[in-house]
Amino acid sequence: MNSLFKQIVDRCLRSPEFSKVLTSFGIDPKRYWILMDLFAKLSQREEMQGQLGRQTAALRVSAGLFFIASIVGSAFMVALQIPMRAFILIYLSFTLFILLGILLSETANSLVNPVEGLALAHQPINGATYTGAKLSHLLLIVLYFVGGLNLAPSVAGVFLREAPWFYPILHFGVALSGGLLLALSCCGVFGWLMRIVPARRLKAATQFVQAVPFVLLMTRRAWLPAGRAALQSIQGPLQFVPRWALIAMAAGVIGTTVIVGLRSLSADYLIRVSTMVHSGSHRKTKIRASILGDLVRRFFGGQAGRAGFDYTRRMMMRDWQFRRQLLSIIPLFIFIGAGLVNAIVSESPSPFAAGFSPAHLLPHIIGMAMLAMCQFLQYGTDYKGIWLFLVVPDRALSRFAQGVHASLWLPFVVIPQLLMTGLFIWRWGIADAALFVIYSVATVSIYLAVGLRSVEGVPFGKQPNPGRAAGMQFGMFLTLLLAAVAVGIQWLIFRSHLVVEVLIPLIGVAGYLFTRHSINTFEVSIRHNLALESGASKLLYTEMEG
Amino acid sequence: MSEAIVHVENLVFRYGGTEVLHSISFTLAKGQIVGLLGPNGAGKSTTIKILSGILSQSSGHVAVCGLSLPESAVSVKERIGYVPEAGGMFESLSGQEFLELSGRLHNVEETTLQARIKGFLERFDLAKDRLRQLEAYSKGMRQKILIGAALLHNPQLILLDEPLTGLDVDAQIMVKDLIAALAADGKTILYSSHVLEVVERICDRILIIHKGDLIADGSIESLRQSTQKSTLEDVFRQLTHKEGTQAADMTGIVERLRK
Repeated sequence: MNSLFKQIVDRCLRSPEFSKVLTSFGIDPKRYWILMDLFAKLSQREEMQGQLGRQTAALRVSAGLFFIASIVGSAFMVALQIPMRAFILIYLSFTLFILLGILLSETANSLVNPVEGLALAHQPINGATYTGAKLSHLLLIVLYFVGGLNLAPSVAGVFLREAPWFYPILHFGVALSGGLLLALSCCGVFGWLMRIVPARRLKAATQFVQAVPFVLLMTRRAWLPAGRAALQSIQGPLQFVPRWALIAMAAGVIGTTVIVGLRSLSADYLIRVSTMVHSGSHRKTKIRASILGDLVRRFFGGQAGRAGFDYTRRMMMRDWQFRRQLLSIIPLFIFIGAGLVNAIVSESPSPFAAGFSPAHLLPHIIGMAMLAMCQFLQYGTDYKGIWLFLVVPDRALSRFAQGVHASLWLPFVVIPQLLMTGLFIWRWGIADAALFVIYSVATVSIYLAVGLRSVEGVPFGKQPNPGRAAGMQFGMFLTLLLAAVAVGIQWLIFRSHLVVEVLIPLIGVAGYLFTRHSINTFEVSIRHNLALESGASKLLYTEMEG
Repeated sequence: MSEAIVHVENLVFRYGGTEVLHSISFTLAKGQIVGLLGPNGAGKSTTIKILSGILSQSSGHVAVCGLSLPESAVSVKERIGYVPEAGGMFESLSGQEFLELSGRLHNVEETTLQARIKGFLERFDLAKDRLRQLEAYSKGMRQKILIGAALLHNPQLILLDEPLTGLDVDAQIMVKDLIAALAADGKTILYSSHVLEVVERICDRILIIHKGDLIADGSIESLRQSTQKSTLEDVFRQLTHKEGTQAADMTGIVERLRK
């Protein structure tokens, strides 16, 4: 049945009528379908895993999770009989918010990091055909996510008091149109970037654009009043213009902006591919004396440890895939963390006093951020470069693993908390501050140790895999529940100073032992994955020969 | 002079603030085999990428087969064959699939395409490996596939960037014969290489780029006469001021390793 449906859709899409539609957009239908078949084949053979829209299994998992959540949510709202307009607005906003993050990231990865473009850059393909084929997978993302998030609510909405009989069609139609418009707008935004920003700066510019919506959302209190005031100031002159004319004007401006952006994508895209992929190759790096690097060499495994530390630290700063994935969550953690520190400094009593303190959440927020970072650590743009580790002496790998751990533990666990110690002493006194920081460092270290166990192989040594990211959403949700339980237990422990004084050294020792065990597990994982790579794939050998 | 296939005038290419090519000019006539020489980082591959429409020049005029670049990049790509220095390939495709992809993107009619692929694979001794994925190919086999992909659509201009890398002796002889045969058929060939003996043997004319400047353009004989050197290697050393420097540097490296 499914296959028959696919065949019918495929036949319609490859029909002469649809070819005429493609041609009207400047797309060469023959080459478009050659590219579509190529991308499908590469995804199926796991060579092109970096695009979520081509990973139907991952899409199904994500859509399924949202579907279950939306059943619960919509049943709850229908039971409360909330107004129909509020119901549809809640789901539309949530759908667009979720899609915005995913589409921005996916469009950026498709357009600004076109690794396969290098193999196609000398082929006679025009920009419209190539970008059209590259971006078609966004359509599937929209379909799956809109479906997962809105299928249940569109059916449940019929049971709302004011809902008409055709509510399911209305709800789903509005959500789908919104999703498609958003996808087109994302492509338009990147088209404008390509028009304005030099090719070698595109990667940095797109990462900035990806972060903008989240930063705007988090800082809304700062800019929203000013925005409202500005709107009110122009309301006076506009009050004589009919509402339909205003809507038409706004739609016209947005439509033109998106179309011009889309046209920019189709202009000379493939000429920019080489510069985009190699951007940064002409950038000069500075060699600085690193105090941390020397510390790591001395205390965390000598020169091999320092190699692991510097490799991970530098790749975290420069690897496109790592930065792109981190951007999807880190602004959230930064704003929550900053909010917590602000709350602790301004009004919070000692975490060991009676009652709940925002400080109780701090180690767990940093810990969750460390877990997320470890999840992203294994994927990199230059994953084929790990052949280098095949020729590294065996004993160096354990020290290398120590260095990788140090690159996360020192700058993200120890140093920030030591820096905050001054603030804590000022608020709670030396004894409580010292106890809390020791406890917090030990707790975050345990989170990091858990995260390190999930890193498969050499950091940045795997091809990005959105399928794993979908599983990660579920994993992070489970971890969040466990963290909530941990916060509850911690609250009980913190009620007694004596228990705290006894338990904190124990937690510290447990953290140390668990970390050592995790580093060993990580080292085994590196060896295992290198053995797999050297045995199963010829990729590495061809890289070495190259 | 016969018909010009490539016309380059005051070509400048900048990357960021760095000027990689400084106003170079040359013309390639139909049927010529021209060697493009230069030390690493001189700008050879950049020149070839501009001629193939992969990069766009910062200033200057570039025309290939009478079509201006970068404006007519797609039409130029239909008329040229390009063998890249570090060929990006889709590793999970088989040799046959990669050749089919290239031929179809160049709009070669299917029956003709299959006949050409069959002939090519047999000639290059790849017929029995045609269904294996490229990741299992040796470097030389991959190079043969790239050469085949560049020729399937019968291009007028062939741009070869280090085409002999990784090929065994038999395959090298085969490629050299192929280049001569293509030139005899009226194809123009721009051949970039570091193997000076091969360039000396097969090219009619030499272009030498050094630090982004075109420092020599002429037949091998005229270059020998103007520099009063007997071999192309000596000509190259003299023009790129490398004489005597390499031996001294190497001694220095070995001394450092001893410390």
